Amino acid sequence: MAGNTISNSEARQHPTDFLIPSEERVVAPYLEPETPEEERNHELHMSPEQAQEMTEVMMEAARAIAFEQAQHTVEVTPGVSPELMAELQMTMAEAPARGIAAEPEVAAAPRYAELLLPPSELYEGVRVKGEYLMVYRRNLQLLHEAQGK
Amino acid sequence: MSRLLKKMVALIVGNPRSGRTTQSLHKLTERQLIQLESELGRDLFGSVPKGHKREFFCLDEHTWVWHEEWIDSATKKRKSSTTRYEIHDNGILKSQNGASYSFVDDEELRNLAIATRIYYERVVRNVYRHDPYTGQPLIVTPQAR
Repeated sequence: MAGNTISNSEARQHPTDFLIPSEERVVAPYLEPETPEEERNHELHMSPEQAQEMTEVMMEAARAIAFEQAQHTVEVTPGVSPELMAELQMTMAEAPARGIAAEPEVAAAPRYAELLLPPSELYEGVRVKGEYLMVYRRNLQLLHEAQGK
Repeated sequence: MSRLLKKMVALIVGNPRSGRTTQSLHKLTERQLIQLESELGRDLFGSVPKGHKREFFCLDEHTWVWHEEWIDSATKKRKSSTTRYEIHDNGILKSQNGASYSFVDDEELRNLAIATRIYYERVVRNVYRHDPYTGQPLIVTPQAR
């Protein structure tokens, strides 16, 4: 393995080809803060292009993992209790069956949407599966009325 | 303490009452998910020496973390090292114990890139239960559990 280089596409297609023997894996990342200069001079140096490829491999892996985490995590934005979030999810799910239009009051929006809307217009932002579901106060009132609250 | 640092500390230190969870993935917090991932990531760089505790995980889309704890044989005191790898457009910036910033290169960078690629493969298959290439869900048979 030592001395081999991989491209992004190669790593994607044949990931197991690049498994490192365990005795080599302990070499890096270095646990010591500094590596003596003389040792570094003996190492195989990587070209800037190869270094960029390696950086992109790490970048892609981190992005993909972060995406997976977001897909499988239910997070509540500050100020939203888990109970309220569960209620909102339930009412949103039931809205169509109760004849309440889910659109446009309930809109799925990208994560950054909260930055685009003035806080006064946003009742609560609930991140579900990586997306913010925007629920406006008016819509919640409608849902509560339909539920007889 | 920065938000990133707090998150890292919480992930590493953990909750002493929490064990390996059997909850459905959709009920897990981000921290629990990362802990599951780290169980797969900790042996990517070889077996963990006896008496050592190691965590290797993806903190977010810009950060990989290596944390190691061990008892120093000479002083018998617990020691630890936290290495953070920050992804920048122009390279991977390594910070050890909050200081000693340097860009990773050569063999270390190559091994890290390969390790993160394998980490992704393992985590997607074993934690998120789908094929990393096709996205198709993996079928878990009773024998495979």
